[in-house]
Amino acid sequence: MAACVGNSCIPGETLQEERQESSDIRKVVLGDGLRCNIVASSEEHSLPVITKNGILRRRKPNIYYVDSYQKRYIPSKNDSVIGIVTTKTLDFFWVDINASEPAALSYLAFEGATKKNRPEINVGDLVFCKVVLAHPDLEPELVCVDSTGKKGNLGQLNDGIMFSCSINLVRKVLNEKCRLLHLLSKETPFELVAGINGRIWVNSNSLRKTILLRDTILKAEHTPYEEMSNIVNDFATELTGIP
Amino acid sequence: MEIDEDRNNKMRAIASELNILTRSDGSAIITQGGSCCIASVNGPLEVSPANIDMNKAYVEVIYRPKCGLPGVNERYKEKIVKSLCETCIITQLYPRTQITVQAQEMDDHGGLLACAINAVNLAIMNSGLEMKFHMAAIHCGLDSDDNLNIDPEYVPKANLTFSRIQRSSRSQNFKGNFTFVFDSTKKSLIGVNTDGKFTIQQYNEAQKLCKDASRKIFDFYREMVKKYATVL
Amino acid sequence: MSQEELYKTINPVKYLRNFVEKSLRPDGRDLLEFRPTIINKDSIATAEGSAIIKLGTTTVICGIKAELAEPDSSEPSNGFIVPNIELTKLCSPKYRAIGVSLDSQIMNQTLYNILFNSGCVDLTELCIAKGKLVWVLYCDLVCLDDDGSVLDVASLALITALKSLKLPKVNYDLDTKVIKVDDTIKKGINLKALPVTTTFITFEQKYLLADPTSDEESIADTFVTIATCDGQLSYIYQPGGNSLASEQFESLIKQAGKREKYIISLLENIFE
Repeated sequence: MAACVGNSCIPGETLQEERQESSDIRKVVLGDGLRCNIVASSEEHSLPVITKNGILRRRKPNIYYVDSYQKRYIPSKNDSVIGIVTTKTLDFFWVDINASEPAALSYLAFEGATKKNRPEINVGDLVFCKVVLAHPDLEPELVCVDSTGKKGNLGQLNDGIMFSCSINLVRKVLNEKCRLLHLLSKETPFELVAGINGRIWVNSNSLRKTILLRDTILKAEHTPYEEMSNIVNDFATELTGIP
Repeated sequence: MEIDEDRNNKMRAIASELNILTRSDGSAIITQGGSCCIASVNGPLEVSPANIDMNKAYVEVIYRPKCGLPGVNERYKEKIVKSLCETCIITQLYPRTQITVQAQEMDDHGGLLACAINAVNLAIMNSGLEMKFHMAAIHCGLDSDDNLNIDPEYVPKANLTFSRIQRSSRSQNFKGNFTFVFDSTKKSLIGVNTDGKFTIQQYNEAQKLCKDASRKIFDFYREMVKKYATVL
Repeated sequence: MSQEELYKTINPVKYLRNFVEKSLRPDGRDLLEFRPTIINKDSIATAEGSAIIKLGTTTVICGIKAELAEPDSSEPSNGFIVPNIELTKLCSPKYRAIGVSLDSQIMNQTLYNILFNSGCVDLTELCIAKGKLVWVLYCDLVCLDDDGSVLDVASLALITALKSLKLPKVNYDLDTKVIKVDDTIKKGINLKALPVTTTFITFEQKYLLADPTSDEESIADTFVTIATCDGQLSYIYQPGGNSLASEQFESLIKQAGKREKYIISLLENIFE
């Protein structure tokens, strides 16, 4: 059985793409939901096998991945995630990022932090950070600075509300094809942080508006891309009722 | 979604819905004829030190009966579902974690173990855990005239017997019951549980019939994936 | 530690593979050969029926204690058989030390299924007075040493103990409700069939091994348990793991049939 790009695929199917387009580059990059050699002594060991249910996608030139439904986050390097600080120890904050175990966030992984000048973060606070270490055998490690030591968008999130959703919704909201955020920003100014671990944080100038924003974003989960303007219209109607 | 009853294949109608529980990572409800089962999958989660495995995920299966407290028979079914889950999930990808699977019987009109296995498969599929293949379980009954019935429906009588070890939930109409589990890649047998006495020929024939019928369940799984993939 | 033991500890899979490739097992057996079986009946004088079975070093002892009880109202003429196996740290460090372990609960249900699927015992034979008095057979099994294939040994111990069972004659007076036990007349129960259980494992997907030791069990791909009686099958169990080709399965069934004949001949010898 072979899976085709753009079609639904199920685990156990093999990836058999004609490689004429990329004949000069023999390498294929396997993304989420594709693996090589899952069965040690398989005859088809040279072909990548699909391990997730969803749609097989290809990004040019030859990156393949499976778009699938998921709620639980599995840490992966360079992901931007929203975490909740659960414990403080001598050198680390332990942050819940919706994964199987808490992630470590060093006191020194903040802009301008030194041994003496520690960031003022308490248990229960929200932090937006990047995963720098994700290995199944080790606990994940987070930072709140980029490679140049600047904080950029990362750091503590104050005010606003954070809500959990499926990882797909986050991917959908961040997708270029999805005009939801663009359309929403035309209606009202707001701040939004999307953590790929299935958490979204929103803030605006009034709490009722923020809650309305949350509901609209959650509604987008089962809305096709073309119909996004409908839910934004609903949002606009509701918005007029808020002083 | 639903697949209508096909007279030629004698399978009962299957209907299923994914993601019915809001808090689990993956969940599914499936009805096969009158039998119904809900399954929920959570994981990878933090594992207790007693069950930690450095090389792969620890799979915990909880099987709850339709009524009453779980007994020895449920433990027995848990064992089957557990080793099947360990076979179809690539547990090596999630070391030092736990995957919790819960199956809850809803209504028993025969073939409930098969129904539960199919529900668990759909729930794993919904959870996004990486799998080697899908599994399809099919129940087959051998009646007193030595005829094989694929996925038979029966209305259970009220079970008044209460003994310390429950009799396996055998339909009184059948002298033999088979539950076969097949994988989706090679369509080969990955699990069997039988009940009653039968000959080798009957066993082989039942296996062959169920193997043919498993195609229908795999087609059903594919349709489910196609359906939910449209909103991704 | 000798070189060989060291090798086995470091890489148990390769260790077994080196043997199995030459159609041999580490203990000198062929792939489908069984360990020597020792059956001893009536080993416990205080029990109504008992047996000790050894398969290689795996040892299970079974004692049956018979008690009188009132039957279940839904099945007034049926007695009870309650198998209960103890798998403790005594026999293998892999079991939990305290409480009723999950493994023993599962094995109890398996033993029960094997016993009743084959139609071996007619529970009405345990009836003394319908709706009033029946026998309850508490079959207590203790695994003394677990070196693999415990289920095979346990089910054989259960069957042997049931076959050796001697129940005293009981008179029940329906009017006065007086129970009189006559110890001088003892009678066995009639076993309609003798199910024989055989466990196989597959190793590296292509090798089939009969009667695995616990070392072999720990690195097996999958288990297949087959119970046969009178040339028919009464129980087939494979809990996931690697798939087997149908030819492989058929050869296992054939082997299980051969094993059944051998065990039955052993039992016939003992109970002559």
